[in-house]
Amino acid sequence: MNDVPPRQAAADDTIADERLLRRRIARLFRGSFHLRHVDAGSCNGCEAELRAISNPFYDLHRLGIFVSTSPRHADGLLVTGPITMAMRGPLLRTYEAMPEPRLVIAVGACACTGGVFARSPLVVGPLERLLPVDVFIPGCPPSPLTLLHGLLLALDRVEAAR
Amino acid sequence: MQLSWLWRGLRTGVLTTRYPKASEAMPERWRGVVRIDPDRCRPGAGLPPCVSACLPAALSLDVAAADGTGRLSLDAAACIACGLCIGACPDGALAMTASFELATRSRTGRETPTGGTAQRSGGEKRR
Amino acid sequence: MTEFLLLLSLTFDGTAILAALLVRRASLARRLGLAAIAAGGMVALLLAGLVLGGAPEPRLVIASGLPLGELRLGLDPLGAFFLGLIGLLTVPTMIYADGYLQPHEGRQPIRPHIAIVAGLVAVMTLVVTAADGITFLAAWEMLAWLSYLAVVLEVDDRRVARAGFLMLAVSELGTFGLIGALLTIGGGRFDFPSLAAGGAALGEPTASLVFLGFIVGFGAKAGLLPLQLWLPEAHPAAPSHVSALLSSVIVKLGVYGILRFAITFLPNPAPWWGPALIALGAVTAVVAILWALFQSDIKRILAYSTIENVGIIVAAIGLAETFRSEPGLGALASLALIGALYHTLTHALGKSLLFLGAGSVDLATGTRELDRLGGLIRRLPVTAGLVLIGALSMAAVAPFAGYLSEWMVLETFLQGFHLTDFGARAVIVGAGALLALTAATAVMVYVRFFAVGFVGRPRTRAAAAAHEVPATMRIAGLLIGAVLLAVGFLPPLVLGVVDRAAAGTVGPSVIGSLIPPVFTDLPGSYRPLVDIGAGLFRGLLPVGGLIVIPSPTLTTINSPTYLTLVEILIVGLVALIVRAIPRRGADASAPVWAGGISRTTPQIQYTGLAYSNPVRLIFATLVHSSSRRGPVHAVHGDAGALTYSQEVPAPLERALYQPILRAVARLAAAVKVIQSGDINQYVAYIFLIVVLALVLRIL
Repeated sequence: MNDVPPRQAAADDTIADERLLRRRIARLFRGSFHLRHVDAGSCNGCEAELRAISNPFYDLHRLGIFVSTSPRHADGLLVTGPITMAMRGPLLRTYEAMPEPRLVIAVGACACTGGVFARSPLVVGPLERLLPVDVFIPGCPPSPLTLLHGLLLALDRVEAAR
Repeated sequence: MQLSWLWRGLRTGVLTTRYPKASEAMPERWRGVVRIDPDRCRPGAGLPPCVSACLPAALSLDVAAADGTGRLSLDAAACIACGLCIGACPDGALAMTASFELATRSRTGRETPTGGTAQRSGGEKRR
Repeated sequence: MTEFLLLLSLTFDGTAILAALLVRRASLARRLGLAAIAAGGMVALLLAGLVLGGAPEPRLVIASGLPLGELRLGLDPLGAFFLGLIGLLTVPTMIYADGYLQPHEGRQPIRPHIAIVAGLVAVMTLVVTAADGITFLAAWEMLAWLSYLAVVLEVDDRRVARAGFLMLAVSELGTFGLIGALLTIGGGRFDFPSLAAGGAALGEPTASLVFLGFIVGFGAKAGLLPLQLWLPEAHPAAPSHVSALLSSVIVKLGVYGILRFAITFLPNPAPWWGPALIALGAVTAVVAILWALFQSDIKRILAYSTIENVGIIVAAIGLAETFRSEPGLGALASLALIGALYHTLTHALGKSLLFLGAGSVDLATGTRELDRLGGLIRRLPVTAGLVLIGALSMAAVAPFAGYLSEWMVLETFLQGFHLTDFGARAVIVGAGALLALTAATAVMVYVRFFAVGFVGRPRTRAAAAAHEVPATMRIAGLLIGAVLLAVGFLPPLVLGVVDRAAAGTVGPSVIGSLIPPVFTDLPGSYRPLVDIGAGLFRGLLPVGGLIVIPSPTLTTINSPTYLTLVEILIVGLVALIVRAIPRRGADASAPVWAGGISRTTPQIQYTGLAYSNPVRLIFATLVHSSSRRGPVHAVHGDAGALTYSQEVPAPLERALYQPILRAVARLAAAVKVIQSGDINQYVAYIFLIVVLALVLRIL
């Protein structure tokens, strides 16, 4: 394992009325949620599925979710891959460049837990170690419907998996 | 002029999925995530075969007990649905499910707050 | 009084020559000489102002001992305009030259150079005050020679010497046409009234040949296609104050020549003259500005831009000539000429500012390569600010001076529908389109010039280490900048003067309709508002009105004054509103988003080469550029350096100049057989010539 220390829980991590907060965020982004995707060392399996959610069958845009290229215009950060050490800096800079409010979504097993690369010294591992993650979308790769479920979960439009 | 596309489109109608307004289902044998049947799962002494078979180390032994009352847990976020554990299990306690609604807000039950306030990992200063 | 001023101005120049050569201490000689030239310039400007204001025109006859008789000098409003230009630009350039020449002390012949520049200014004065053909020709020749000498300050640099020689050669080539035309037009007499009478009496095709002779002669000096080859070489090679004078004034003396000889002395133009000038001017402009986009030397960019602006001026003159050929359009002809003269002024101001700035950059960084600069706005704030003003004016951005002049020229082109001749209208339409393309390309050129050279981060150590230039150089720039801003903000200040210069040349004075004190044909209910708007500052400012209307009927109006005021008002209002709105939440500051790259070096910035590459590819067949990718030189094992070089030949070089040069070389080689070196053969030649002379005498 590499020596990136896990993120310490900040003082304001726990929110008293979390459901209220989620509702407010959902209201903020309803109908216009812009995502910025960062490939932090992914095998591109997740990218292929992310491409698929823009096709006519899944049609991301009908849900009011869009892809933005600039983090300055983005509301949500999609991260795939087990965060290689090389991509650590660019990923953090991308997060810094996003204005608030912003959501962070870990896509795929690698971003959620480090996946099959979790023990490698060349990766940071789970995204949680770097950024506060709002939604975890497991799968290797997650199917387009799983991705839609995860994105809608971020917008508080569906229920989380039990 | 690609009129044939027009006719084909009119014939097939709208194909777009209505999820989440309408429910969707994956094909039966689709690999979603592995589920543990708590009645059948009887981990004995030593490392259970499913734990050693699991590629991303998603399965882990929470409580080890020699009499087979140990508890196994699956980190769903780490599961890559390869299915090796299913074959390894002597009790047939593991099965693949075709559920696709897998996203969660937390990994281990600890609630992480949703979005909004900026959090920084230790060492990154806010400028 | 005016005669006295003229003589005084020339005396100052003479004093400068003496001071530069005779004063013992080098720095004092330099300062005195330059100050004397500047003083002469101020006197010239004063004189010009007086004559344009209505003072009696000076007349001088100086009996010289020269075999060509007496020197006749006179100054009418047209000449006074150009004299004013000379005086206006001499003052700041000489102030600049003090700081610029100081580091060259000891390495280059500074004293002779200052004497030459003084002579150059005097000769320029003589060119515009010449009142007969011989004086003019003598002054014209001296102009060519003295400007050559002024250019080659750095005599040891072969490129500089070659560039100066090229300028001289093309100028002399043009003078052939000039002499031929002068001899034909007067029929033996050379004073200006005789020339005018002779020109009026010429019939076709003599008149057209004379016209062409003048255009060739003066076009060579002005830099029109296809005789522009020397300009991009000579202007960068000269020291910066001379470059500024070359581009702003000397080139405009070619324009003066065209106006005086080809236009004024040939008052019965053939119908094709005007359209020919329009076409020539428009093509020159668009070709030149296109080439400006591909240059990497900042001074060459400015030189090509000069050619472009000369093209615009000549096209406007052609338009005036076209309107003059048709009866009843005299006012439009005057408007076109006013546009041409006004553009001459704004270009002179902007270009001299830019050349002085380029010289400052060269001094501060040691390089003129655009792709080696960058970040200069932080290192050289005053110089960069001045260059920005000059560049904005050249790119015709409101409300700077170049904006209104270019707008006036284009608007007058749009008035072409008044003409009845279809051919002329077709040419005007085509030329208008080319001029619009020119204006757009000029914006690109100046964006590239300023963005690559001055903003961003320094691309080389030399640029990073740049320090501001001496005070005299900055003061000179500030002087020109102040005049430029004043002219831009209050065009009516100078338009009245320009109208005085233009009136009577091709048409009547149009100042009444050009800058009306108030509108006269609007419905009565608007009258109070319009009266306020048109006359807002009239009591405070020395102008006739604040709105410019360059057409005989109310088809289009413009007012940079009001534009500036409104812009300031809007910006101010918006700023106030933004401040007044209460803001929630804290501000966060974050570094600039640059794609998340971890290490940004200055090398990732745009280069000038890259910026202009798409245009070069589009015009590839026209430009004939060639690019070469060099072999990779291994430096560290497998990693190495890759070179890419691109060459853009000068316009018409492959199409015109090289074939001509080859033909001349072949001819010379063929004739060389006469030069055998055998003395017997030479004696035989002499014998043959004597026999031939005897035979001809007998016949």
